[in-house]
Amino acid sequence: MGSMKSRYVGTRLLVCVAVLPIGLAACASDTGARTINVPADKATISEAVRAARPGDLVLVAEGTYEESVTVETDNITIRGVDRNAVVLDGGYRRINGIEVYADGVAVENLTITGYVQNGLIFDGGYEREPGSTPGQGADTLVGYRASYVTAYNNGLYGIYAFAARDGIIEHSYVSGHPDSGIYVGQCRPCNALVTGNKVENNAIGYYGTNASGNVNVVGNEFVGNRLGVAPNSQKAELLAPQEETVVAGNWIHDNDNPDAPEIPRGYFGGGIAVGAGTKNTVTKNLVEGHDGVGIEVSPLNDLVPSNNVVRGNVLRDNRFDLVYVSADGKPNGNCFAGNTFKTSSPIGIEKVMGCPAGAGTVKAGTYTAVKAPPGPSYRDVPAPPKQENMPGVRTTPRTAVVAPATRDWAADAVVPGGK
Amino acid sequence: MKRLHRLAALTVLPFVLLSCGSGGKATERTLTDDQLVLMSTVFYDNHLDKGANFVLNTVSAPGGAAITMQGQVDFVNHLGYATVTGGAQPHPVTQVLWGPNVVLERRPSASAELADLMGRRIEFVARTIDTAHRRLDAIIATINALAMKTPENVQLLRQKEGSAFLRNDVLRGTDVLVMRYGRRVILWVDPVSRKLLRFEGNSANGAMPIIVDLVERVAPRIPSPKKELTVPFDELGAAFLRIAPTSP
Repeated sequence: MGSMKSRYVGTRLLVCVAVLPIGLAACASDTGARTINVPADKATISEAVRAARPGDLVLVAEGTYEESVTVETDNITIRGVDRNAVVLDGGYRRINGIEVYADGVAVENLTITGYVQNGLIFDGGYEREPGSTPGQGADTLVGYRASYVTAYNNGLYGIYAFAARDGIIEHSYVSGHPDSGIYVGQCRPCNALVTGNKVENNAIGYYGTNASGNVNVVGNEFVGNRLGVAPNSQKAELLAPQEETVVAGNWIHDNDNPDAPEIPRGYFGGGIAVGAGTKNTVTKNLVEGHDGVGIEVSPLNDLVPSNNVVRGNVLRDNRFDLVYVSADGKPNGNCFAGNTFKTSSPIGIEKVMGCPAGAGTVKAGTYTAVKAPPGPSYRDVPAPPKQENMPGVRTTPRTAVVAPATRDWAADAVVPGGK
Repeated sequence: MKRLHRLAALTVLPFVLLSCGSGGKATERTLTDDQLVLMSTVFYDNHLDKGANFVLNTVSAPGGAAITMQGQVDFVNHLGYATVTGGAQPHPVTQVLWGPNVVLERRPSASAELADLMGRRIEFVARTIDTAHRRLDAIIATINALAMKTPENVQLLRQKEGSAFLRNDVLRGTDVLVMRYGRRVILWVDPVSRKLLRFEGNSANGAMPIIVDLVERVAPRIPSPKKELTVPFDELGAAFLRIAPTSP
């Protein structure tokens, strides 16, 4: 083992010298953090990750990497030098592209495609204490970040945070998934920020099952999915009901795409669907062009939505702009106010269910769900165009993963582009 | 909204664990990551395989007659056919074909009465599938549910109550892993080919076991009966129920 380490250090020094002319600044920092270059230092990303120590940067050169990467070392970063030319390819045989079981890991500036299940997963449910609940308390992955990641045509989710908290998913492009593009699930509190992403041609853009506590889905574009955004509660996962997601300042449009892969018995034609979620705030989104619904609050299975606020959104060109589906004829604390809209179910939704929510009853509306057409295999969704690179990939040293800033995202958001 | 969850078709059926075969709790243990991944993809692999020949054994009702079905399923299009032996009397079903929403059943011993009713030779009675009230249709739904268009979520399988590795075994000369899927299903999986070789289920009271052996993956070729030899159930109505009151 000692000799291997010695050889590694020698290689690293040589590589540092070799790459200096192209501007790599940090082969080793004062704190001992290193840069491990792939394939110069280690032939594969997996080898580099296994060799990495906390604080290290795994810097991946252009190439196609046919491997599944498992990360079990805290506080490392995997970074591609070119988002479009560093490609992890699952060949529709490998299970996950990058699976992270460690705290404080960042994945930056690369592409992940063709995996049977997930492109990138941060999985805090891996090791459980007897009797504990993954996603809550100490039994949680703490700290994760996906930045400038392209994930497309994987068999389940593109970017998935399960039983994890203090995470950021940003500036990523996610398409062609037969489930959700971005999925934050089973965490309380989640302290998650999903921002600056484009999520396209998936069965669902963002899905947040039982993701509760300071979840912020802000400033993204969700387009051409079958359903755009869906915070929701389900008994199939632990920690129901879902609570306290802010969906704000997003451009959510044309999520009625029959050419996106479908979920069996799945939803079709909606911008935002709060499925039995609770205490969510949906505000300042531009939601347009849906064959079904712009924004819907509805039961899911036998769970009921409550205390959700839908306020200040701009809705247009949806078959129904605003919809509330009641399981029991009561508003259950859900309310709609200050939205720009034309159609609703029930009619006059802001009069009968204004904010703050009152008591009384809500008449059933005329909305009926759109029947979902069959879709293509996830393997057949066209590959995305080239995506923007992360700035400073060769010059910026590894940046530690930090929890999202504490901020009132709902207050700070604006309706996108003045559209 | 997303289904709850991917084996909904299985879970709505009244099947639960059938404990058959050797072994048992002596070797029962938590599924490993590799086993979870295997479990998460077997139904998806069936979809990719497109079709299979199968042999199915079950009973018509709690304590009822044994039924054996042998046939072929098209996992992608939810089509299939099978010969049927055993089951209800009088006029047992001997052959069945199905599509996504329709079941066509053949009861040769009732052919004379059907011909009298319709004034022509009838081989198949076609009706809308009714899994809630017809045992035959519930069996067909189980066969169809052995394939899924997506893999399952490993993270959720990991915490699915009841799931466990049960034992190593041998099935039709192949070494297999026997794993319990939730509380209600047992899967026999070849870890080399990663194929599901046997599915076991049972009713909630344990009285209606069902075993489906997938004996060969095939490119499915499901025949269609001649239209002139088929009659919609609605055209027969109550008369057919008098002829063949049970299913099967």
